[in-house]
Amino acid sequence: MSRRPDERRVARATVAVLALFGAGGLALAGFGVLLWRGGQTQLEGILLGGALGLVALGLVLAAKLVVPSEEGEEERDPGPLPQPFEELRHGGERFGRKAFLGLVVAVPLGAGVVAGVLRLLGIGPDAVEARRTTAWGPGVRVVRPNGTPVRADEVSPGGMVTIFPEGATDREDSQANLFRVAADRLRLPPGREGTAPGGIVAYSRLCTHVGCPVALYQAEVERLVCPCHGATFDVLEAARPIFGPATRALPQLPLEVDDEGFLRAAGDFPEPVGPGFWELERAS
Amino acid sequence: MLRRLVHRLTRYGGDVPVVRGAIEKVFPEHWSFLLGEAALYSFAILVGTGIYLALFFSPSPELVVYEGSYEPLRGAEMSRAYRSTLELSFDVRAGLLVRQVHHWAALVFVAAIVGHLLRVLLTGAFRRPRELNWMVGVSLLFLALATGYAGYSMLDDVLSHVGLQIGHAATSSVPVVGTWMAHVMFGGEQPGGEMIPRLYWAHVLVFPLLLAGLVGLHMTILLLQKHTQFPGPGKRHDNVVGTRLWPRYTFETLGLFFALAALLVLLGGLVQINPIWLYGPQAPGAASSGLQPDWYWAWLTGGLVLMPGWDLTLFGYTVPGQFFPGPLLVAATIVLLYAVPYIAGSRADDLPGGRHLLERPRERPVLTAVTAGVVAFYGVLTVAASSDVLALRLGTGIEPVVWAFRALVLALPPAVGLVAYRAARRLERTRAPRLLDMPLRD
Repeated sequence: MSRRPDERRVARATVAVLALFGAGGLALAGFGVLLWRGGQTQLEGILLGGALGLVALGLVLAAKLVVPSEEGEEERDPGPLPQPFEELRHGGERFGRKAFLGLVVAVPLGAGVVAGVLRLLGIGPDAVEARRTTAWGPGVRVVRPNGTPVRADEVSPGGMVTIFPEGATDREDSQANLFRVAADRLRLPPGREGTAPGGIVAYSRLCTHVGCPVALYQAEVERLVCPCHGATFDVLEAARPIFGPATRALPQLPLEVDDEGFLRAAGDFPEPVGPGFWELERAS
Repeated sequence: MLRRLVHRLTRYGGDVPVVRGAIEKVFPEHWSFLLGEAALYSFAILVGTGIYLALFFSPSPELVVYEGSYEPLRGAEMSRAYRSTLELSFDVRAGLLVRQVHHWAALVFVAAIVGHLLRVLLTGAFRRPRELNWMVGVSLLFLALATGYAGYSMLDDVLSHVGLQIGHAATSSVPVVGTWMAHVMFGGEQPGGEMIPRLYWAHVLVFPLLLAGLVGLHMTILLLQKHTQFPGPGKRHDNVVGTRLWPRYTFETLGLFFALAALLVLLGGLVQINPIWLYGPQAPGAASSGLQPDWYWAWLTGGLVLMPGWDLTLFGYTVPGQFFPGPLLVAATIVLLYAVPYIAGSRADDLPGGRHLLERPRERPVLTAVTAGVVAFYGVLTVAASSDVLALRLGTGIEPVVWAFRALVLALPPAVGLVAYRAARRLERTRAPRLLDMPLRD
């Protein structure tokens, strides 16, 4: 079944197609000149994209109006093929499909089993040990990301300072947020007396949900919000989670003020920072 | 003139038996069949642009100071990887165009795959004998997701580093082996500098090889089984009716390729995407707000936003709350997609040679309804990833937005499913009876 379009229509369409190809070629040349002269992203996009688009139009026009169009028919099953192809043609029913599925299941399961065995044998890094500690410790001075130490009288209410241990500003696990709140409004759990001198309190900056830096401080309501998934922590109540997907409070860094007025840590975080994990209780 | 050229080529090629067989291959035509082709061509464009980018990208975490042409970052400390990306964006000829075309192509690639997957699902083209090809296709989808993640994370900017951190935390949340696996895969307690070369080799070598291999298998099975077709006059189970490969189909498909390339280049030139110079180089503690992953990962983010904080403790061990909307949801999604031919393939319909005629969604109201509901579910999760941005626009805190989405994610999927079911039944009842398929010859 073959269509025979009008001869003149075909001729006109052919001219249109060639004109489109020609215009596309010109645009491509323009693109080349633009690149040679240094380039500019938007113009590059317009010229090259335009060239490609004109060629596309030409091809589609050619397909519809110029090239002879025949609806065709072919048999689906022309006869048996050599083996792997015959098996594939039948959808791998005999072994291909099961093999494929088996592979998809076996690889992750196998990886998990190998990981489990290696871990139980103690081969490889002690991932849990690494989580017990950060670079903080008793007497370590509090510094800003650029390394300058922080004095107690430099911390003003309503602001939040990102802090690191002195000498460890590249330790992602040690990042913390520093605040000054009214000391009489601070409600810390028992046993933490003296860890927030003058209302200056510090919490780990690693969200206990999935570890994003908790960067949004709403001073008017004394809340810390994590920008990733909206975990919200109460600054006055030891950063306990009050909304969102976090389940644990941000660990509090105990602080003290030294004789010269600089802030120092009184110890490391009392529990692991960041997201929870299988051995969490053992690491605490 | 063009026709004479085409005729001459046809006769020339027709003399060679292999070529004649290829020329006479028939392709059924329907607009929805273009989705798979669009995915294939996006992949080709990704490889082409990717090769250019790989000439200039430096997968090194070594810290350097920037003294290049982008003023605001001059004097800043950054990894070589990030600096090479800045150079690509500002100093390499057509570098920013190619970077943005590459990134847009990745977004379109996954969108085309998802569109193609839905088409295959709703028309029953996953049924016998195409179950294997369905599973190859599902693998391609997840490989594409992984490749995209590796690609945008290896640039070492603040935004993608947050994504790596989340990946690390999600991996650690897996019971028993999670902590250990995350430490090994990501190079420590947090994703370290070692990640950059690992992501690079995964993105540039391992994943593309797997993708190319599976695409080859996908196309081979398609070629052997021949494409499915919608029922119609003259169309039976044992034939294929459509356009011949040469000359018409060749022109059509080349036209699609050039149109897609044109679209991607226009997007790449005119619509900014992944402006890493605005995010800044990764540094410990650096963060910003309005953090979103690329669209095809947003469903995971949305799950992490909406799931309330519920840790599970078992005999002194913890299954942290993010395990459920994280690794468990991902695993469930993967398993569900692979299992489609087993769940939805109907035994009673089995014809000896398998089916090659497609069904319209209205003919399978339950499948259509379930698909619609599942799409609604992942759709709500995807939108919920932007809860903070939405809260800002609406001028509320994040809590009401999150609660609204929690209600929506439970209520919308069944509602959408019901509507889809009713619509399918209504459409099926009112259609004119179609010409019966002729039975198989024996």
